[in-house]
Amino acid sequence: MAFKIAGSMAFKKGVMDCKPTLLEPVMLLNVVIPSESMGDVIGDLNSKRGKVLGVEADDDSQNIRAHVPMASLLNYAPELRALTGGRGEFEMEFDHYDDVPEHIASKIIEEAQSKKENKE
Amino acid sequence: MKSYSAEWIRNVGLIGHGGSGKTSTAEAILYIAGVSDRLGKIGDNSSIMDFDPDEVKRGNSTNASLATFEFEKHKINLIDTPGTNNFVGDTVGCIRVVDGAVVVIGAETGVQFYTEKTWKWANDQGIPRIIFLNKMDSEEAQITSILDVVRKKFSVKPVLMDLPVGKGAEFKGIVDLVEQKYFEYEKDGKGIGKPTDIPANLADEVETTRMELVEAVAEADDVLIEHYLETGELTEEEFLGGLRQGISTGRLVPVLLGSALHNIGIDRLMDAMVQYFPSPDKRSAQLATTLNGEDTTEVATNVEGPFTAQVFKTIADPYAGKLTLFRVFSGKLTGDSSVYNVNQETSERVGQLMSLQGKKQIQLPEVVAGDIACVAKLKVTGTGDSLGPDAKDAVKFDDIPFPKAVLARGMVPKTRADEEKISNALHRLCEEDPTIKVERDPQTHELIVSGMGAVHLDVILERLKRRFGVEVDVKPPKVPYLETIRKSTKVQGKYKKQTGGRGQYGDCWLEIGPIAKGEGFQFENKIVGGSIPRGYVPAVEKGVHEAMAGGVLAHFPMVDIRVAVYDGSYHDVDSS
Ligand SMILES: Nc1nc2c(ncn2[C@@H]2O[C@H](COP(=O)(O)OP(=O)(O)O)[C@@H](O)[C@H]2O)c(=O)[nH]1
Ligand SMILES: [Mg+2]
Repeated sequence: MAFKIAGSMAFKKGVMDCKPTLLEPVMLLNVVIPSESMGDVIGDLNSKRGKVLGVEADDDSQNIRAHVPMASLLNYAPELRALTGGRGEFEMEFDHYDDVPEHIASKIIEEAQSKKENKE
Repeated sequence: MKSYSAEWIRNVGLIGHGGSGKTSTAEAILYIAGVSDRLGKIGDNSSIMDFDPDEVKRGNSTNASLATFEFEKHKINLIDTPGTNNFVGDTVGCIRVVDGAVVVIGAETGVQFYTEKTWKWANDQGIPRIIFLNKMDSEEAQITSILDVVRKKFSVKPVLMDLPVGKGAEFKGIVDLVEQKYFEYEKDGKGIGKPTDIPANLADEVETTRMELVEAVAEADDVLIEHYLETGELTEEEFLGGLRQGISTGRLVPVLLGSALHNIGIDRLMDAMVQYFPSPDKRSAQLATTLNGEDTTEVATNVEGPFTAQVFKTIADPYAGKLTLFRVFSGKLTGDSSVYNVNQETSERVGQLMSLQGKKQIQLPEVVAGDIACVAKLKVTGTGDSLGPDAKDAVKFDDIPFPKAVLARGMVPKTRADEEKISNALHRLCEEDPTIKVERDPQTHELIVSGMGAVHLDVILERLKRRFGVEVDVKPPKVPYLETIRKSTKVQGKYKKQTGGRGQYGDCWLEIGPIAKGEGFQFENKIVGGSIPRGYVPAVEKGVHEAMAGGVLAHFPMVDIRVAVYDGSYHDVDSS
């Protein structure tokens, strides 16, 4: 019991010196849209911190593959429909975890801490 | 209703964009067929097809509905589908089981995005199509410009079978270019066109449009085009044969005109369903997999074969309980028997076989290959499942390509009672609607329900409340963040409590550092010389492990960390 507490204490203290970093889930997003919506959809992906991996054209539709943080995609279904007049379709799956950029991380940490305080 | 053999059956779906008039068309059809004694209107409880409380409230379809009726010696199974992204599941299921689809287009709006989507699905599944250009009574009704879009977007040859007489509110009849007759409709909405002479001022247009029609049909077939070029005409038989051929290969798409609201042209649409769409036995064989050996096999519509069927829709009926709608692909099924469910790997008792007219049930003595029917109170069977006679002769049909859910929400039951009822309720809803997905996030422990859009999720919530008395709050799902570290360190942890009685003493030195992504957690014992006895090391590991569950930044789980214990000290009595 005492060694368990010691281990836990050591770890919590040590981690502070190890540059703790917040990670977020990043999705692999596959979007199929009519060509005329291309500019709007790419612009939106950029504003969502997405990284476009590739674009394939097929007749008059475009297939975009991108890595996008899950946090930016919680409302993607209605957003994409609005951007493409209902025509756009997408699928996504979890791909990997990645560092949350500093300015966004600090907001998430602040929020989590204020929630914790509210509870206490 | 008596049993019909495949050649006398037509399975027809109404597909297209929401608001184009699919349900109104179905209502007019059912009125003409004598199923209803007045023309059902959308959103006022008089509709046969939009009977669900969700639909009455919204004034549009949220469910596919089936209505079976007899018409000119045939039995028609008509499926009306919703026209939005939110309820795509039912449309996809419908397209799997029909042998012909009427694509309804509003003549005042033309082709819309959901027209395109449903067209593509029907095309992918090789389902023959007819276009019904509805709302010809509208002042904005168009024909030519819409057909141009159809030609360009869908790469098919639309062939106009009709010419309208009267524009806008004056629209009162249709010239049938095949029979070269004018059918005029009374304002009474009875829907029976009276054959009359073609208005003289239309004679030229009738002549040229008819030429185009015959030419298009002739061009669809090499033999026909030869004969046509020789004689400049096609016999009635040749014309019908060519048209059917062109429709089934998807090269030709007949276009009929009308107004569902005023019941104009609907009787002709019904004729077209019987005349132009193939009967189930003319449909190409369905692909399936055998149970032993995973071989692919083809199931032809043959009543002598073993019974095979696929469930395309499940309805929760407030009185009858669960209704399972299926299409028989081969063999036949009688009531009060049993079937083998391939997906669930179990047998199910089958009671009375029925067909539906909206919510009304009609008893059937048996269901044969090619027909569509339903049965109440199956226990485990869900939408998309394949049914067979027994585990030996059953086959598994290809999965119906239901789209994946796209919008996720976290659900928080309002009370303890809601909490207890919610998983059973969601399980039932999932059985009915394969586009709903329910899961518990392994990290945030949140109950996540996903659907096809905000309206779909709204309907799910309303069903939870109305049918199961379960109330929930919804919010965007929590994002499962994690924490990790980027640098290494060495650190001491010492826990000492030695005042009075039995004390406590533990002291360890840890090396903490990052490891590669996805490696999780590694722990190593690097103690040399017994500074901490072996027996205490697992306690150190446990302490570290528990500390990792809630990270230092925002209390998210920590990952990809290596910890080694390499030194420390202990106390003979007080350590534990
Ligand atoms: N003017 C006109 N309105 C129609 C016609 N058919 C349907 N409507 C109206 O269009 C709206 C949508 O019809 P509905 O049958 O629910 O369309 P659905 O979504 O395709 O099933 C309703 O308000 C109907 O009354 C028609 O032939 N002419
Ligand atoms: Mg409808």
